[in-house]
Parts: sequence; C-alpha cells; structure tokens
Amino acid sequence: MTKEAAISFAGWGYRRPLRKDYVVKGLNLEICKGERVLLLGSSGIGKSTLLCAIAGVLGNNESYAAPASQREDEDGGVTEGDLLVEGLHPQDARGRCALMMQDPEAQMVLQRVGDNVAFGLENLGIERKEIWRRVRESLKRVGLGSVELSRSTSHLSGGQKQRVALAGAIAMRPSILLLDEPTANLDPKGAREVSRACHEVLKENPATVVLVEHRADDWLDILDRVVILGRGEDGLAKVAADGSPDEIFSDPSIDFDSLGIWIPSKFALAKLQRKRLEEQIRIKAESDRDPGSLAPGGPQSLVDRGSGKNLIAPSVKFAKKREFEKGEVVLEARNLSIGYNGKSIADGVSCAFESGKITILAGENGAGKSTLAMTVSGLMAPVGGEVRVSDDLASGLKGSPFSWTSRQLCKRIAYVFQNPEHQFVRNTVLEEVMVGFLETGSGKEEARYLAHSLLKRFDLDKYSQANPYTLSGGEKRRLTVASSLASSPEVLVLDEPTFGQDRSTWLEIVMLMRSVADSGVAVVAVTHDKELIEFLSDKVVTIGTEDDCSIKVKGPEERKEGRKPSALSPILSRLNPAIRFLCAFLLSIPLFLSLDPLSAGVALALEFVFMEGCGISLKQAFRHAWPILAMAPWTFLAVVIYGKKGSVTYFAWGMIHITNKSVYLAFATFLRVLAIAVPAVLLVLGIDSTDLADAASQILHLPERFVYGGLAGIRLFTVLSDDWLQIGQARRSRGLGDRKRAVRFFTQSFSLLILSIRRSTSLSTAMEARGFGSGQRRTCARQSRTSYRDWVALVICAAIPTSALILAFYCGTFALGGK
Amino acid sequence: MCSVIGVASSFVFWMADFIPHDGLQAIFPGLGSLLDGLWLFAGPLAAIIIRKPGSSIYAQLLASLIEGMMGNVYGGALTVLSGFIQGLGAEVIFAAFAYRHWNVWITMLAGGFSGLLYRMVSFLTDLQAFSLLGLYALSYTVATTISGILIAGLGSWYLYRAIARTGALDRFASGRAIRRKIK
Repeated sequence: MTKEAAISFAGWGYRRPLRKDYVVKGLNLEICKGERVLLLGSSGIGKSTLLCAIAGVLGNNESYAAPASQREDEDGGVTEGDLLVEGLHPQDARGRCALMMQDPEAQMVLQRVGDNVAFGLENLGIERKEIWRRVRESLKRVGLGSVELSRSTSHLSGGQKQRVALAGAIAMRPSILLLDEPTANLDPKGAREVSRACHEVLKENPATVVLVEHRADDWLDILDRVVILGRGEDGLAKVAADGSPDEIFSDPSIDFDSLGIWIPSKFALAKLQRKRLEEQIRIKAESDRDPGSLAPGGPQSLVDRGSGKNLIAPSVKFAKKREFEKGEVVLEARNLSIGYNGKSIADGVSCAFESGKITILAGENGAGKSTLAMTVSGLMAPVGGEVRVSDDLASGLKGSPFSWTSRQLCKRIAYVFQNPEHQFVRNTVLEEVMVGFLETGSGKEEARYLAHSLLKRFDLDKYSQANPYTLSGGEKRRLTVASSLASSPEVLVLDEPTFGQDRSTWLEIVMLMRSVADSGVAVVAVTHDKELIEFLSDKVVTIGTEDDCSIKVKGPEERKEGRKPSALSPILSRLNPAIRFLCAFLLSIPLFLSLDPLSAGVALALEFVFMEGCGISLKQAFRHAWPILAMAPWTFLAVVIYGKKGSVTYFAWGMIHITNKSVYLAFATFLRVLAIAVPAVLLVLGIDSTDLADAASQILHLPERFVYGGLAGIRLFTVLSDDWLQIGQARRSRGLGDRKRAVRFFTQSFSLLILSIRRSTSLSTAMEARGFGSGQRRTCARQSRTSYRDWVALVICAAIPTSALILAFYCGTFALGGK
Repeated sequence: MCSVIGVASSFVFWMADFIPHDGLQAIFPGLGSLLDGLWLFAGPLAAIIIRKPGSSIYAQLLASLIEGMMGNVYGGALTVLSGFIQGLGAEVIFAAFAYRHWNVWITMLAGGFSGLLYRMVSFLTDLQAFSLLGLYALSYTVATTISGILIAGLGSWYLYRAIARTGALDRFASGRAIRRKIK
C-alpha cells in the first residue's frame, strides 16, 4: 500500500545548544497521511524533540536555506538531515500542525478561555465571525460547551485546561495533530476526560496523529501503529520496533522494562511486567534491611562508610538515629481544619503518620491533599484543630509544627515539593545538600564530607559541582530528596514524587522511598499514581468529595463567572482602556507646569467632581488611593525641611532649613502629588490586560508581536505569585526561613526569575505552535472600540488641568517649576 | 522572553514598593534612594540577556506598566512614564556601544545612567520644590546614580551570570557565552 507521506525524516538529527551529543541522530522514519501513531521510547531518546521539530518550533529561524549538512539556528541548536511535513519545510507548514504539550499551565496563553481557543485562529488570519463560530464548536467537541468564554483559565482544573488546549489545537483544523504526553500531568479523572475528548475529536477527523504517552491503556482503540525508538550501538537513533499495537505489545522479544514503557494492562505481557517489578522492589527492600549489606544505596552505607568516626556527629547520622519502633505514631492530625486564609476546605480531619511506614495521601487534584500535607508539616497554618507530634519528634519543642522556627522544623519534618526548582537554594549540587547539614549544626568540612557520602548514596556524586538546575528531571527529584534528608528529619513528605516520570525514573523513586522508610523515617507521599499506591503503600488515606473517601472535603464551588468589572464604576468601565490611560496622562501631566497650591487645589477639587460624575464616591476614591495618601505626608515633610529656602527662616539645623517658602512649596507639593497621582490610579485600576492589549494594538497601533508577547507574560504574573509562595514555603522547610527579610527577598527573587524564564520557554513554544510570530497578518478576535464617550472623557480630562492652570495664571500664583 | 523578564521584574518592583522609601528619604536625604536601583534593574538585565535594540525600554516599560496596574504609591499610570525614562537611560548606553560590547562596566554605566536620567527628570517634574543644585537634590541624585550603578548595573550583571549558569539561558548567545567559559 503506498500512501502519501505526511511526515518524513531522512537522516535527521538535532543537537541542543551547548551539548556535545545529539538528542536524535540519523533518524529515518515515515508517517503516512491519516495514520495514528504512538511513539514510544525511554526518556531522553528525543520524543518531544521530534514532535517540536514536526511542529516547526524547534529553535528560531533555522537557516534552512543553507545547503550545509549541519545548520545552526538562532537559539544555538544544530539540525542535520531532512524533515518534510506534507512536502514542506516544517516552519513553512506551521499552520498545518497543531501541538499539544504536557504542561497544562504552559498552554494557557491568555487569561480567558475563549480567547485562548481563538489565539491560534487569530494567528492564522481567520475572519472574526468565523473565529467565534469555530471557538464555540471546538469547545463543544471537547466537552466544555457549558463553560463561559469569559471564564478565567486560572479557575480551571488541569484536565479542563488540557481540553481548552485541545480545543485551541483542533480549532485551527490541522491536518496533523501532535500530542506530547497530554495526560502525564493529570490525575486519573483529568486523564480520562482528556483522552475521551481526544477520542471524540478524532472520530470523524481524518487528521494524522502522533502521540507520545508512557501509559497507552486509554488510547489503544484509536491507534493503528506503534513505533518504538531506540538507539543503536553506533549512537544513531533507530526504530526498534514498528507495527500495530497488537503486534508490538504481544512481542516478548521487546525489552519494555529497559525502554521505560508500561505495557497496557489488556495484554498478557503486562502481568509479567508487574511481577518483575514487585520482585525488584522486594529484593531491594530485603537488601536494605540486611544490616551487613554494603550494597550501594543501602541505608547503612552512609554510617558504615564513615572512615573517620569523629566526623559524624551522632545527631547528623542519616540512618537509624535511634532504635525506632516501626509503627510508632510520630505525627497526627486531630480534628484538624485545613484551608487557606482562614477559610476551611475540610473540617474534622484526623489521621496519623507512623515511623518506618509509607502513608499515601491519595485523591483528585485540587481536593486538598497538598493542603493537608503542608498543614501537618508546619508550612501552612491550621484553620482549626490540632497537629500533634510525638514527644520524640518534638524533642523539647512545644506547640504545633507551624509555630516552630524554620531551623527547628527542618530537623524534624522535611517537605519535598512537586516542582524541584521551587526548592533549589544553592549554585552547586554539593552545596545544595550541604545546606541541610550546615543548618543542623555541622561544621563546613564535616558537612562537605557528609554531603559527599549522601550524594554517593543517591548516585549523584558525579554531578557534585554541577548547577542543580542543569540536571535531568529524575536527577533533580533525587537531589531534592537527598537535600531534604541532609537535615535528618524524622518525617519526609513528598508531593507527587512520580509526577510525569517515565517507568525507569519511577522505579528509582519508588525504591528510594522504600529504603528511606525502612531506615525509620515516616514517609508521606501525596499522589494519585495508581501504581505507586499499589506497590508501595503501607497505608492509604484518600481525600475527596465522594463518600468512600476516608477524609471528606467540601467540593470546590462550581461558579458561574461573567466578566469581571474592569473599573471602579460602570461608566469608567465603558471607556476604552487605551483612552483611560490617555485620560490619566492628560489629567496629570500638565500640572507639572506649575507648582502652586491654587492650581493643584483647584485641579484636585475638579477631579473629585469628575470622579463623582463617573460614579466614584469620595470615600471610594480615598479607599483605593490610600497608598498615595500614606506617602504624601512624607513628601510634605521632606520639602518642609529640605525645600527651596525663602526669606524667613523658622528653624535651621545642619542641612535642615524650615523657611516660609519651603512650607509654602511643601503645601503645594502635597496638593499636587494628590492631584496628579490620585486620578492616575483611579482611572486605570481594574483594567483588564487583554482588553488593554487589544486597544494597544488596534487603537494605538503598537506592534502586535510586542503587545501580545507582553500580554502572555502578564498572565504569568498570577502564576508567579503562587510560585513566590511556594518558594517561600520550600525555604522554610529547608531551614532557611529564619534568615533576615532582605536576604530572603533577594534569594527568592532569584529563584523566581529562573522559574519565570523556564516558564517562558515553554510558553513561547506553545505560542509558536499556535502560529504566533509566523509573519502572517494577524486578525483580532476581539474588537477594541471607541465611542463618543471616550472623546468626551478625553476633553474633560484635558480641560480640568488647563482651567486650573489658567486660573492660577490670572490669580498670579502660577509658578513654572516652583519658580 | 523579554516580556518575562519584565513581568518577573514587575513582581520584584511591586514587592519593593512596600519599602518605606519616602520615609527614609525624609529622615536623611539620599538614604532611601540608595535602594532606587531595585526599580531599575529590569532594563539592563533584559538588555544583557537579549542583546537586541529596544529590550531595555521594553522590559522596563512592561515591568512598570504591570506595577502601575497593580496600584502603587507612585500613581498608577504615571509609573509607565518613569518606566520609559528609566528604560531609555539604560538603552542609550547600550546603543552608544552599538549593541556590540557587553561587559560589566557598560552594564554598570547603563544602570547608573538609567538612575541619573530618571532622577534628573524627576527634579523637573514631581520634585520641583527642591532647588536643582541644592545639597538635597545633589545627594539625592548621587544616591540614585550609585544605587543604579551597583544594584541595576553590577547586580544585573551578576544576576545574569548566575541565571546563565543554571542553563536557563542556553537559547541565547549571551547565556551560551557564560556556559562555554565554565566548561
């Protein structure tokens, strides 16, 4: 059967910037039109790279015109060989492919649901009416037909976000749909939603599909081909297996284990795989328990290997710090209420965590698992009830963990965050681990020695001088566990430790948790990973809204969400946002001409009248402009004592001169600060950034690339606020939360910058995959309008300062630059 | 990318808005301004990472736009104007070197000039009540400039190097330059 090729790789390869080795090299693969292909292979084999390449978003402006066999793009990546997408170079075929990535957050480009789906269509230059027709249709297709277009994406669950991304992809009517682990970051319910939506979408759609997914169970019936990528002995990428799903998954000659692949449970081989896995974990656990064992990774190794005994203080030994009794309750929630900002999401929570055991907190995303875990580990304040700790764990401390200092906390309870990057605090892997030892009282040399042995145990010693951020996903995870253990806590809490990991990393983490628990630590894992629960748990606590859950929470309120008010009053909100900015400028800037109490006072009075006319009462105005009112007296004071000197001096001391003129000017400045700043704040408060961007591009004709690039960045602001909170909590759990505020501010800002750069990289890939910046003329789904009201507002805003200034001129108080 | 530096910086600006800047200023002239560089670093930082014309202005402008929309003591919309002037100050210096030379000295110069230009403009606008050549204005200007040089200049440079070492900037020529050196 000869079918037309949709995608063809010929001797294709790609090398990331600064890397010596190619991710993929010498790949030959052809995918025909209409085929539905599952792409498998161990992590690091370059599956995501292939999808990005097909979508044409791998590196900017690759100079493909050059005939050279190796081409470097602007981002420093090197491509070789050929790749054709429907006969075109991938960058020219951008509109034909739609890419859906694994991180739901990264694909939400704009604030509102509808705008997100419309984004790709705008970039394709589709006409406005058609855009909204397709937006509604696509949302319906993915089962989100009842969600308002104006709903904020930050109020969606992960599964809903992924479906919005899918809707955005199919709305572009692509002939090739690329799905990069679309359910890897979701809980089982979200994953089901997304795969069901994909099934629905693909039923009558003739598109070619390339899917990357570690767990294929939910996808089998839409797939007709499975390609397993491997690496040959020569280092070249090769197709290790290729065939129908039935052929592949029933072929015992394929080594699924080392490829990191879960065999779908409907195939007979799956059972064998699970047996092998159980065996592996059992052997591991036994070797750990054997006290004579010096096997690398054994919990005893750190202590036993210590050559200089004096180096290891008894308090910092990692394993078996004391004879623990397995099953002793160390931490307990009693009738606890958990929640945010004093609002509880669950009451009467009682559960206990025992030493040497692994307790799993399971349940859907957003049900409150992490909130519970954070509350018992002293990172969030309990809303009510009690977190009790055993006398051993408290060792002299009183109160609940939340009342302990950061340093006291890190010796007792450690929390490993879901995103490892939230908790990195140092520039090298070694220092990262040393922190824990240093904070618990070790000297520098001792800490170094201990850190090295701990790193060896985690097989990270070879990276001791590397920057933590440069490690791979699995390595980062191991490092965060290692650095949390450095302060030898008795409770270790892990948030989604296996999230988005392939099978080999998964196994690594599972074994790690087992051996930590066997050394006497109470391990708590927050997860919804079925396999993790199956293979590891000594005890499962489920949290959710359903009746069979051991802890019941109030479900999140299903809310109807209209558009948010975009100004302090309805009249203002009807003005165009760009005009509102102009109004603020017109009102305030002319006042700089004169510094006198009369013009400033008159302008201020007129402004209040104007505000009143717009429906903002004086009280409202003061409430929203309080920061200015709080600052103005200081400015007044500064001018009084340091301002320009007049003829009569009331008081003089060193640099300070209080004179008749300085008092007069201070009075004028005080009024003018208010006259300038108050309307400048009131007029722009509440402006929706999407509306502002539309106005900036349509009314002010600013370049779209910058406007919408900036807008996408602004959406990150809310995400960054969450990041900031988590970075702070991570620092507290690592014993660094007691530092001075200024130090905390700077170090946290640094972590935030790195995180935001990471986020921006995936965000810009998502935007490019939707055709942004392709050079095609863009349409705008939302029309930014101006009406007569805008012009009236502009005229009034110009008239207020002008009349105040004219009045001052005639009364003789006008003073250019304060004379 | 440039946007993101702007956005992340805006977050820092906004947090820094809670510092009682003007209170310190009244206690002793120039004391509060020693922190002014905190509001200036977006421009120089974006420029040395992106290395394209306009990145200083763009990043600083965006950062102040968001800062202004969040509401602050410096008068919402007007923050945008100061952002523009601050960005311009840094941009001028990088432009003077034709966007070809990138080192710590030029970055310090850019940070300093950003502060100087902004402070000078501020004496023509909201700080008219002080005599331009008086001791107060002088110490104020000097403090802002020093702060610009140290925090926005030197600070940005080290910040950039630290970020580059994490591998986050491998997509940029600027980031690759640092990572090659340490290999």
